[in-house]
Amino acid sequence: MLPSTLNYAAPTTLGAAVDLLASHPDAVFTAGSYRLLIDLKMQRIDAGTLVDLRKLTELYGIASVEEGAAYGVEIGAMTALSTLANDVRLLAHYGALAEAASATGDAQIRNMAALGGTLAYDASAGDVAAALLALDAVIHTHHSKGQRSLDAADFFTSDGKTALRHDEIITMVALPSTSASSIYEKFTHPATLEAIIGVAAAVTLDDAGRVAACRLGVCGSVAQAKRLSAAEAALLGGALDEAAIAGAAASAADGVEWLPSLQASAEYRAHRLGVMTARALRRLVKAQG
Amino acid sequence: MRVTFTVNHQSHTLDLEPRVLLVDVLRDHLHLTGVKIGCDTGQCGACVVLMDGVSVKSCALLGVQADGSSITTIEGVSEKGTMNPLQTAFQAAHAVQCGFCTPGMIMSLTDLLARSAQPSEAEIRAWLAGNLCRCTGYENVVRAVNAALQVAGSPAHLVTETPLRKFYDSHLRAMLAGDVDALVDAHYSADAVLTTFEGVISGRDALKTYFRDYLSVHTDLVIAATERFVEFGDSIYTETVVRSARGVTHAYNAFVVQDGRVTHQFAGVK
Amino acid sequence: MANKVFGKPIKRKEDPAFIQGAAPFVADIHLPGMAHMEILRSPHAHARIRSIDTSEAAKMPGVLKVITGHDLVGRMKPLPCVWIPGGVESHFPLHPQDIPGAGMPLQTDHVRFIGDGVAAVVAETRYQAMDALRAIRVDYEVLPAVTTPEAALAENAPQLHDSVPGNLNAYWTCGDSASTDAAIADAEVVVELDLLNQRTINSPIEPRGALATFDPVTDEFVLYASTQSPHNHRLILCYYVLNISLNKLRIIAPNVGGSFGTKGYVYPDMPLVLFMARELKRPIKWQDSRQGYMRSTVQGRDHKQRAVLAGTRDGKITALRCTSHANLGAYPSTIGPGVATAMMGRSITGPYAIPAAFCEVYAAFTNTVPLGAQRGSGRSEATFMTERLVDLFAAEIGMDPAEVRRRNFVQPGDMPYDNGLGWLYDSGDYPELLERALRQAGYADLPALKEEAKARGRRLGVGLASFVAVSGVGPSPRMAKEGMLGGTWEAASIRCEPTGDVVATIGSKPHGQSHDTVFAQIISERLGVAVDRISIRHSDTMGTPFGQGSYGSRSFSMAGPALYLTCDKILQKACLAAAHKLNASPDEMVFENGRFYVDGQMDRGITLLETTLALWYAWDIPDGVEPCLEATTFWDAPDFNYPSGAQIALVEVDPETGEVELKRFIAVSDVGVIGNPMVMEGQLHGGIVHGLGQALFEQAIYDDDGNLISDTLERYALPKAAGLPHFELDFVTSPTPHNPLGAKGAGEIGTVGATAAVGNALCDALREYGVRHIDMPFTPEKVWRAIHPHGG
Repeated sequence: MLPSTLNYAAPTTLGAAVDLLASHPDAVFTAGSYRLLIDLKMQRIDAGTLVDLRKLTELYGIASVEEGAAYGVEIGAMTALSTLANDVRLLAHYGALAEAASATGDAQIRNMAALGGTLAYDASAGDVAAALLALDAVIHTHHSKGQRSLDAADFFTSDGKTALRHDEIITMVALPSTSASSIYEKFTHPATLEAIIGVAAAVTLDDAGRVAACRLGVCGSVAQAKRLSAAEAALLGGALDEAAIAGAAASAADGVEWLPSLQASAEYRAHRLGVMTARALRRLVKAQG
Repeated sequence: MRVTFTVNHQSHTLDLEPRVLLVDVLRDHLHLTGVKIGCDTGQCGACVVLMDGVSVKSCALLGVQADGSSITTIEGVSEKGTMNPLQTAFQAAHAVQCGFCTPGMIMSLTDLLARSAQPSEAEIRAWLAGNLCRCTGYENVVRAVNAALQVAGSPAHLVTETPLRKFYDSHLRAMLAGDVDALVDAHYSADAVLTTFEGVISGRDALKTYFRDYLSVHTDLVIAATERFVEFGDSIYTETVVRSARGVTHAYNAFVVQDGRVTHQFAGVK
Repeated sequence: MANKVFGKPIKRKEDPAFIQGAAPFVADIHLPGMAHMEILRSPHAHARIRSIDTSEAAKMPGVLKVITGHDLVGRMKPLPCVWIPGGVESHFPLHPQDIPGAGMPLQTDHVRFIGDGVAAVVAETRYQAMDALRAIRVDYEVLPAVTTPEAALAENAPQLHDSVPGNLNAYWTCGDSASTDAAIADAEVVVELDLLNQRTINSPIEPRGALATFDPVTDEFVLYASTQSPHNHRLILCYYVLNISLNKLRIIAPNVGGSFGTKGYVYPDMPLVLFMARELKRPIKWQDSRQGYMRSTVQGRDHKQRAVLAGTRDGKITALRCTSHANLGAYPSTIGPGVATAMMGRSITGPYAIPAAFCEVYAAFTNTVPLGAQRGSGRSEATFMTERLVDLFAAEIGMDPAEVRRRNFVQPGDMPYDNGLGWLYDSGDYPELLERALRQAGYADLPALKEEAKARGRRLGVGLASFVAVSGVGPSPRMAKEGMLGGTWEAASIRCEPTGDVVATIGSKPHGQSHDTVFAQIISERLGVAVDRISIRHSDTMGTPFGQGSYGSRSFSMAGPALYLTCDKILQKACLAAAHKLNASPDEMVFENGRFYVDGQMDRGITLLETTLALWYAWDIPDGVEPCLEATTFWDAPDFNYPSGAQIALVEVDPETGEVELKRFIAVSDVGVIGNPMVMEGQLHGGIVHGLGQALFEQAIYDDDGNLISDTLERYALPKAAGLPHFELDFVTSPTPHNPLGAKGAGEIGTVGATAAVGNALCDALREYGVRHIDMPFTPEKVWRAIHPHGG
């Protein structure tokens, strides 16, 4: 049950939104985050003011951005996950993000949750976290002293939260142009539909079929969404064959710290992460024809 | 806080405490008890309604968050005392036992059917991840959806059956399918004129260019709700809530239809 | 002559209201002047209450009244328990009226489980009441808690109730211990298995609710409640809890959003809203949250069984023994103790002719939520145990599990069959059920399919479940033997109106089982009146005869016959009136298509409506015949009835992850005569999925301090639509001789076999890894660990 003291504001300008956060130490912003509202209802967290970004119309939409001969995308932070799941550009070039958005929660959650809200509140638990790590995303924010941009790798902190400051609002997520194929695999929690484990893999092969670039991201019931650097190192420069895949799988869980979970032990999850990594890579191989 | 929103085409202005949930506003303030509360944490889906055309969980939204939006509840998907094709299919397929999850199911499925003309069985079942049922085992719910798919629904969520409404549905279907040639050739006369705030567009070629441009910007297009649909003589006046990757807009259109094709269209957008 | 409407899959009459969101449930009812109640529940599983301070809460905005258990002393009695395990010594909490007690609605000094009530607040709005709860200060002295029967029965365990030494409610047995032990000692093959049939939370989508009104002018109460048994609860509340005249309480169950057993109990909120309504002279509404529901509504299953099966090398079962520890929770629920003993214990022989069998149950109180019936209660736990044993026996002797079953089935010619444990099976063809299921499954092709799956890196398993499930629970004398304190007959009245409508009133009530339609089909077929002219009135204690509501799959096989026999009475009386009108003898009359005519003279006839009018006007009716065409029947079945089934599950296991996928599910069922096949299939779909939930996802998890960890739907996983196959259903019909319809109870049989079918299929899939048994739920990790006991 929400407290009677809860305040709500739906500012119509970004500046007003930032000001509200800056001037209210107990304010949080909501960008359709369903999880945030449930946690408030169940009194797991406290907030004095809810700053709703839904009226910031400039934060909606996906724009293609020219980068020389290629295109990247800029995704407005208020764009709903359901929109991401169906966007043809994302489906074609940023499969991991389209799949992660599509795999998030249920249909209603995807309609309600905006990318910025999921990033800020679900943080390392959100499916999109792994995808943004694998796609080298840059997260753009506005705060009371100006703006900044954060690499995805620096965005998720080791306490399961984010590097966002209290008065900082995500405005846009930029994905650089890429020739990588990318996908997302999920071990779904049977009750919450969240990711117990989510793995995103983005791989670029050179003309000789060797792994020229490889980014693997993990999210879910982890202390921190991060890159699986040991597994990446095992793949870089070699052919994407069964031996390489097995090597990546064996080291996939290195450095991954698991949160306590009723559903699965840390040992099992480490094992499962290896299996999922292998299957993600095999699916990529198959997709490349 | 004072907020204004429409529910089932009726406008309401309410003074709400920020903490009151949308589901409680609908049930207790507006006495629309078709929407149900089944859990506290957003899994069961008994509270699903349409907000600006897409299904949402009203237990995970504040009433004040509905300001300016258009909401449809189970009471609004058909004229009182009648059932639309999805509802009829539910009865025919015995998809209802205790009935508690049914309104939420129907609202959720209404969203699915508005987006996808031919969802596979796997897609239907995946779509229902946010709707729990303890009675039916979902078997007959899936059967009901398959049966409903055989009967075309209105993409504008309209219930009344008239020639002009059918024309309008056909126009929308072509637009939603992105088939600009079919849209213009089949629905506009050779010298049709479209007047917007930005200027006048005349002739089929120019119309096609206009619609192509519109659709390239407004991807992921959904007709969220039809607030007004008025027929007078050969004309239609519509007020529609439209949702796309660009967000939500309110569209005002008047069509003059002769011999089954639009001769004049007046379009405004807010 | 073929049936016109009975036995046909007609659409439900009640659907349009549900589908348009117009059918009211308790939470939907708004009454003028309504105020809202909230209950403060204990945050500790076991504690003494040192003090309660409600002074702050009483001052909060909108608060009308705050009470604690002290305010109820002398004004309310404890809830009762009305099912004492029959024939054995038992110990219960106390109740002043010489029946078992089930605890006061609010505790004053000792809380015993996580949902135990401590205070209640009424405020103008629900939000205000919830705010006020937070301001109530309770000082607890936390006590050590016990959460399993073994811990509760151990020496020096914390005591829950002074009148229950050692926390043992009852030690209950059935069967012959001596001959069973002797047969086991002598046996060629002995198979032993320890199983935990885990505690589950029923989870209908509608939580509970109650709304009470009190009229100070007439001193009359009305209680709207989400209850399965309005008449029973009215009696219990008036007579055992509130000491008010039965005539002064009316209970109305508006539509009930699923129950599966949980809403068939009297809960503290019911007397509390009535109490508050009288105190405040305003309607008082209480709505449970889902978390509140999970912490206070009866939970199901929870048997820890040690099972032994003995047999011969050529597949004959010679003995079956079960020792179970059953967890009753902190208080006996209204009918919990019987559920935990007889329903499970007497059912263990299943469809097999086992010469020696014995079951003993230690039913203990623990600091957990009280235990009650859950769909398939007792029979599901017995079936899972026995079917697992049969498969292990088959593996031990190297025989096909289907063949072992064939060699042990009770044969149709053996009926009625006394199973030696207290059940007398009425009819059934267990071999035919299995044969049809095997044929549908393509049993002979399965080895090839297993190879094919293996080539894909998966393991395919097939699991059989053959079962019998006592239903139509239960006739009064029989239930008395089991220790039920009450008459459990059914009643029905039918009146033919002068307008051609027919109204029937019944003591049974639906919570999804389609009573409004199926019962109308019975009447329509017999009286020749169209289904849409027949109304079935139920769920309101005013205007309906006493009945049990619905539970134990009894509505169709107990209330149905009551209606059927009432139709007989209607026709008998109508026949007399018709004959009189036609100047004929009653013996000459034929009734067909809603019309009486003289045998051999079809045009010399009179319709049922004309007969109704004649009796209604009463201007010229035969001597000795009363006006009005109306009749009532009170009916007790001579015995339980016994539906049966054979289910087959095909699962595919991914050995790398332990994920279990259900590929196919076949259910061949025998429920005797079916009233509406579409409704019947719906019951099976839902029942099977309910069982799948227990098999794959569900478990009520408590920590050592008795905290319920799985207290929201985030931590308790219910089955969803994805990943379920279409269910392949078939039916065999062995009518029961125990009622004129030939109908057996059908609501629970989907659940009774499903866990066993899936469990057997899983163990079959994991055979090559030497996995002997896995307890439910079959989570990926559990399965993976069974395959890889030493980890990755």
